[in-house]
Amino acid sequence: MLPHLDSAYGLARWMLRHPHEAEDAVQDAYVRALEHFDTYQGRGEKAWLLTIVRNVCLMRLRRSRQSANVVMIEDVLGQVEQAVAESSSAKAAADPETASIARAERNEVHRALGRLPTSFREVLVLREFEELTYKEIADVVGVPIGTVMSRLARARSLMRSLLIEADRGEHKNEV
Amino acid sequence: MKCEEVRELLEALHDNELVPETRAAVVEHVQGCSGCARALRDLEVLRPVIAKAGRFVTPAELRARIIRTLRHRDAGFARGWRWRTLSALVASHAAMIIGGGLIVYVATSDYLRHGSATREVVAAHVRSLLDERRLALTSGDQHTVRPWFAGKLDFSPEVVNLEQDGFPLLGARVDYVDGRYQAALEYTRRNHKITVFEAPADETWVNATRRSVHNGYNVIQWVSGGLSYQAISDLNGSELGHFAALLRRKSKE
Ligand SMILES: [Zn+2]
Repeated sequence: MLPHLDSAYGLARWMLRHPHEAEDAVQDAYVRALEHFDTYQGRGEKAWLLTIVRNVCLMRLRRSRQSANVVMIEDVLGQVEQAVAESSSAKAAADPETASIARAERNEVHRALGRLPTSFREVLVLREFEELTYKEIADVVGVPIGTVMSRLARARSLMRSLLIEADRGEHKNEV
Repeated sequence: MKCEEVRELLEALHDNELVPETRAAVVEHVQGCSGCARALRDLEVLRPVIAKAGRFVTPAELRARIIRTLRHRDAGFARGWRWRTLSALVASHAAMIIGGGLIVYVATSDYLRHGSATREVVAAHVRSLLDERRLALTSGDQHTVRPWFAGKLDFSPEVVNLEQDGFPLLGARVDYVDGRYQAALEYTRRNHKITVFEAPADETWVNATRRSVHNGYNVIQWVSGGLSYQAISDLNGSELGHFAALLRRKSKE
């Protein structure tokens, strides 16, 4: 019996965005969990395990960033900021925006989440898919609760912008 | 409250992270302010959209691979992990009870009563996850499970078949939780186990559905037909809510 395996795998998939990488990371994480059992304080085992999964993923991300053809986080951040600038230029009508967000389909949501910088994506995944509390997210990510709140707010506003942008792109294609 | 302050707290309201007083103040403002109400709606529209992404399905092969690796790494893994987790959990619960002892003895409100009951069912559920042999009867048929409890308990628990609703029954056991013997029924959803504890409801149970999260486990508690029900799982809150609603409806039939 492996506790919280689905949560561990989900977080690794969202952080590494590659099935095999995620599988290896989760396997590493469970081995580490066993080795570092003394750091487990007898409560919040899900957050404890996800902390290990996250650390393993970050190490893998750092390692792969050193190899050549990997998009730098900063580049992705640049793209996202640009998307935000574009979408906020058309902020006037609010209701069509809500409608275009609600229209988003599964693969559009995946793509938008994938475009978020890792530090925003991880808090959103921990909140929306793992339903962790702010305190638990703060423990996993190792930042104060205030930072969790501001990252969540930022992650959500980026998601809105990216989904609106995706929807607009789709309509362009239809016309 | 001013709009500015409210806007700062909308996210926390949406995530159910506000203490009751603040929550009440923010809700009151939102009800009377169309601007803040619209900002909250903007937030709320996003959650079901993000949920469309769904959860990744863990490959069965990965589970097997990890177990193989851990066994290889640590020959005593099977017992080691289980017992170390178990003893760590037991120790933490003991510490909580000793630490909180004063409060528990002084106040006996529903909240605290539910709080300690919840901790106990969580611990019982975790124990069952750690030791699969604890399932005394493995049967998914309510006509086998129901009579099995006769003579083992001083009440007759409700056993509902939810196979068609995607929650097959794995089996049953009797567990000593919260100071009395309770019926424990195990259901499953994908790879998630759900334990339902049933016992006669005493006067400390209030007639309302309570949801909470303990150590990453979702817990839903309610009273129906004189029995207290406590459903617990690491399944996400909305699916467990669906499960509890089904169980509640079908046990009345
Ligand atoms: Zn306002």
